[in-house]
Amino acid sequence: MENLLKQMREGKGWSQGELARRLGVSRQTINAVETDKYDPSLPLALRMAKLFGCQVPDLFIDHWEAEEP
Amino acid sequence: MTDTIEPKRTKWGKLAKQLLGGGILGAFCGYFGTEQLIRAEATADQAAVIGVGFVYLLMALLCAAGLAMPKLGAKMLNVEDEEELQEQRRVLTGSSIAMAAIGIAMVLLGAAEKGGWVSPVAALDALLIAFALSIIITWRDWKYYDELMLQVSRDAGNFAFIGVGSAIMLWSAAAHLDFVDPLSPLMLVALITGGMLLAVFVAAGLRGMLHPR
Repeated sequence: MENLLKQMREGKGWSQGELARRLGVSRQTINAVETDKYDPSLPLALRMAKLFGCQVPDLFIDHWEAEEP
Repeated sequence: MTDTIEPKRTKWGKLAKQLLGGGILGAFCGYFGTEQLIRAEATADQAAVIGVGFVYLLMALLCAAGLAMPKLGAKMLNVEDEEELQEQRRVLTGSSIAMAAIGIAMVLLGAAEKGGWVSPVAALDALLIAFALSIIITWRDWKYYDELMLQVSRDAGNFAFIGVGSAIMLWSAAAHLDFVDPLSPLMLVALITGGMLLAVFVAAGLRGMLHPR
């Protein structure tokens, strides 16, 4: 899923290692999310949003639109 | 502009060195291993299971060497720096021990024969010890796996089951219809053990974990 994790992380001046440490995951996980190879679990997405002081949809972009009934 | 290009060059240069080093080591072990197998008049299934065992052993050795010498390990393994290697130390140590145990068990299994230098009892013991060690290590380290590692484990399990299962099913069906010889027990062991390793690489690759860092 398209996301703004890298931009948000760089905005804070954090390395992947620093963000991984704050979130309690491996650097590989941060790298995989940033390169769109892995969609994080809902708890991790919520923790990421909380850390950056935003909502999950501000971090992860879903282009799906509900069909009008 | 140089700032954006240079790190990429370094990453790909590191990958090239890793491939070159792995290639030389693999070719060296492959050459001497094949020579020994020919000399010992090993059958194809013995060669397969011993070959798989050596791949496990080689990986365990590289991993252990990387952990023992973090500076070299950061260059040899696909990690960003020494610090990342330290972060993964616990999980990597367990993996190295389990891979070494499986590798040794596979080599002994391939070499075992009645009256030979490896007895069937010793090979079976080695296999049971490798199994027990792998289960204990996985059980102990499970809590240190983060969600990506758990996902890669699940993916690898699925790929191994689908890939190896399909291969065995198709081959056995063809053997039943007399098109090919049935797979020997030793070839089945080699196929399953080798397939599991290959599945881990595929799963890790699809999650971008083999991309140079």
